[in-house]
Amino acid sequence: MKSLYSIIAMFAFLPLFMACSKDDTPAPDPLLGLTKEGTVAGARVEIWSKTALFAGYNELTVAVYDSANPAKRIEESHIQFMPVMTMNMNGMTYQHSAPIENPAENAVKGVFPGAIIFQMASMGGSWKLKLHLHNHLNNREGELEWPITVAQPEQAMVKTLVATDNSKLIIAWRQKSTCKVGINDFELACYKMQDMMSFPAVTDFTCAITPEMPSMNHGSPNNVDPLHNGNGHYLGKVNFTMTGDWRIHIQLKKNGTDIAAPFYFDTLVK
Amino acid sequence: MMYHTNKYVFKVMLAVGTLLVSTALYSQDQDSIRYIPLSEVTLTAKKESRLSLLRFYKSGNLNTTEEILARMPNISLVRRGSYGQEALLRGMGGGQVHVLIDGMRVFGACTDKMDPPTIYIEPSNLKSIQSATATQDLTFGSTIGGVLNMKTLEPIPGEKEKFSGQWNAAYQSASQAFQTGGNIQYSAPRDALQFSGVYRKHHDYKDGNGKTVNHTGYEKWNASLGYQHQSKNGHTLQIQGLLDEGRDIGYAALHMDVGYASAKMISASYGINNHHGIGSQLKLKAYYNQVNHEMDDTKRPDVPMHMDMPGESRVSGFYTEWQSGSHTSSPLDLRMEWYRHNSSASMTMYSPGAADMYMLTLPDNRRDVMNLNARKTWTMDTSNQLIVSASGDYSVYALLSEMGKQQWTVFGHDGETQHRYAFSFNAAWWHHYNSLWSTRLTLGRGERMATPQELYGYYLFYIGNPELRNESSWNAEALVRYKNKRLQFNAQVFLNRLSQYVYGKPVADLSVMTPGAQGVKQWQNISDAWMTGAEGTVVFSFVKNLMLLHTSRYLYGWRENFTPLPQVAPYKSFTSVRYSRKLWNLQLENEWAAAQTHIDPEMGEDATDSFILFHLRGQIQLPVNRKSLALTLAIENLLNNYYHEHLDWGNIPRPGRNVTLGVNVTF
Repeated sequence: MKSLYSIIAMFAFLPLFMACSKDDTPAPDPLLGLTKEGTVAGARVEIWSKTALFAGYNELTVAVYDSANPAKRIEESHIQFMPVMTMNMNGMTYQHSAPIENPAENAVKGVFPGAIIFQMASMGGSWKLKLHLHNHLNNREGELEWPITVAQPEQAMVKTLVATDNSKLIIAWRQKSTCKVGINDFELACYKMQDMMSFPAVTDFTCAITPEMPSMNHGSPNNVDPLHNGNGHYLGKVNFTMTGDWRIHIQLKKNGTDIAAPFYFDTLVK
Repeated sequence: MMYHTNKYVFKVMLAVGTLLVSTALYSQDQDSIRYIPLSEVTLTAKKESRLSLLRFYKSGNLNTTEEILARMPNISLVRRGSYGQEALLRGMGGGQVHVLIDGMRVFGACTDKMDPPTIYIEPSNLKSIQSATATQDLTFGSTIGGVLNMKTLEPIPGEKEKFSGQWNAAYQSASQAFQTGGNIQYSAPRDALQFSGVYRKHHDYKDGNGKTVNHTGYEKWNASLGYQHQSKNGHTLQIQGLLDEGRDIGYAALHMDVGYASAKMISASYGINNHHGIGSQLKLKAYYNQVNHEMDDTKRPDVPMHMDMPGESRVSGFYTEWQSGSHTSSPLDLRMEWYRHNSSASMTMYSPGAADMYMLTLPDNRRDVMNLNARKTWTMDTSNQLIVSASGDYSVYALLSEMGKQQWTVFGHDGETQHRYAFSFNAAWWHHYNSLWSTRLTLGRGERMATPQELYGYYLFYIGNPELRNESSWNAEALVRYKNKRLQFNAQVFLNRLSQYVYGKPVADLSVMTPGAQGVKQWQNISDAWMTGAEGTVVFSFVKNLMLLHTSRYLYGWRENFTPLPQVAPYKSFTSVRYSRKLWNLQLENEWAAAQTHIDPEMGEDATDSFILFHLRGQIQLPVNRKSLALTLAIENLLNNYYHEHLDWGNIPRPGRNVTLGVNVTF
């Protein structure tokens, strides 16, 4: 009987698992979450995102097709993201961009994975996403532009900090899957605001993390502080001993000294 | 001259009294000096000798199992609440001791040992309690601490009386407790049926200062039903079932109480007596039991955070026993056992305005255990007997829950299935110098495997250690016994060296996961530990109707650098003087515990003062129509002392003066 129940339960929950299952290299057909599409430079461009755009680290997948032959996928092209936020403050209009990770020129499994790190939601102004395409198939170039809405997630996934040298830092938690009890990968992406339009990755930080359950005032043992792993990404491990609300305290350091005030990310461990 | 081995098997069955006092109880039976591997306290006897020590243990008609255990010379109790105390045999408990009910494995379901299996059995359905220290008895598998086996009443076919039984009721003043219970047996020539039941309701008791100690009350009931069929050719079939349920069991030393604790047990056994006419015996038994346990903090006034903590233990088992019997002067006993133990416990904490927090304090796990053991007795001549026993055990541990495995990744463990082995042996040599003096020398080597809690327990004061190694011991004991018609005494000294001693070491950089916890300890194999001590019993009949009984025990334990071991009770003695006439008796008792300053502060222990208590008990028999009606009066803690024992958690005071009035009907 018990095994029968578990089989039934397995089938009942199978769609759930399928929906949640992690796939690092999204297959283009069918892609989850077609977000935007357009045609430029003799190519039809599709932008896919598994989640609706949110303030934080957004993984975007670009699929490019030959507009003359819609079935033909273009696997070599130059794609540049240009997110632009327009804000009105005291009658003045400001514009700024956001940290980006442009896709490589060669497609990975037929698509172009990249990322945009929206440091804020659309609430304070309006986001636009521009995409510059250099189609290597016909050597034409062009630009697409879409108005987009960036949602504020329930728990902040990106923080803007003022560093000790007064520069602005944007730190995003790249959360690949929902946090669970036990050991979890923990990945941060760090960027410096050089000017309103450029946000280079910061590669020379070290980082100390301390998870805590605020309602319990306890932590968890054996966490691994994230270490730089290229392109401003820092990889570590975070441990959760039980379900519930957890807070991950983070202290960024440069050459052993604190570079900014400590901050944290909250998360619900299920 | 001194003993006849052909009575051996039956004597073991009949043995009354502990090893220490067994001769005292059957003082008229000069032939009964023989090796009894288990000390045994018989609780139910049809005909009680007026000088029987039975009432020394069963001081009232409605004692709890714990109260009886507390009087056994080699047992001390760890008291976490007013009910649910854990028995330590010479300072050893938990996974170091096999606690069994009728040879069945029963495990508490609480991760924090709030429900030792002894609470799920009641004296009203108990026939006897057997105890054996160290490796003296390997019948139930490898061990280092010994065995505590509680034997339940069996329905007996072919009795003279078709219906027999007893009923009793009592009131206790300290906790305004009412309790009632009894048993009834129907006995036909070949079949018998027996039912027993008990109900207890205790309120919070008053201590020696007259102050009510909050959260010390409890309520429970227990019922059992047994059936036995005996065929003409000595085959027996027995089926037994038992239910036990406790509610709102107060744990004054904790932030929460036990809301619910229940046990269900069922067993079937088949026995062949006098197989092939050579006195050999074969017994097969299969059983299942389940224990559920739930903590409850809703009755506490200042709860920082409401928590649910359910736990479950399930055991299925099978064993077969074979005894070669009386046809030989060197009998052989064999036993083979398999059991499967599933256990799990979890904790959910409810923080207002935050998500519920859930943790597996004992991730769902399964343990399969097999053991095979043998005991051989050689009778060299009338004054020398050698008993050698050995046990080999094999165990497979598996973590079943995915979340449990994930939890353990925090500590770098993948929760892989584990295989473990243990081996123990023991040799005992009896020498009878003359009709008065005997000695026994014992040497044993024991080993025990880790418990699921010790491997997989997750926070909740203790954190497990999947890499824990077997704890092992070398132990030696010498016993001297003297017996004449008036005076009997036993004295034993022992030395026990434990290797890979399992100790709950506080880990400073682990944070507590539960409100109210002081720190987290992790089970670790630390260096060697040593335990030594002595026990003695004296029984002396001054004159015909006056008897004195005295027991003393002392235990001393240390680990590296002579650091004292935790949970070591101080010197303690019971002295009891009984005057009995045909229809009444009066007994004055003295209980004395020395101070304990030999403590382990790392474990959070503090020193305990000495105390002296006096108890008075009396009984009047009123024969009514060939049945018996007895009225009992007991005054415990006569001087209303304010005290606690060393092994009491949280130094919660014990009850003050407690007057018990009881009535007992035997029919």
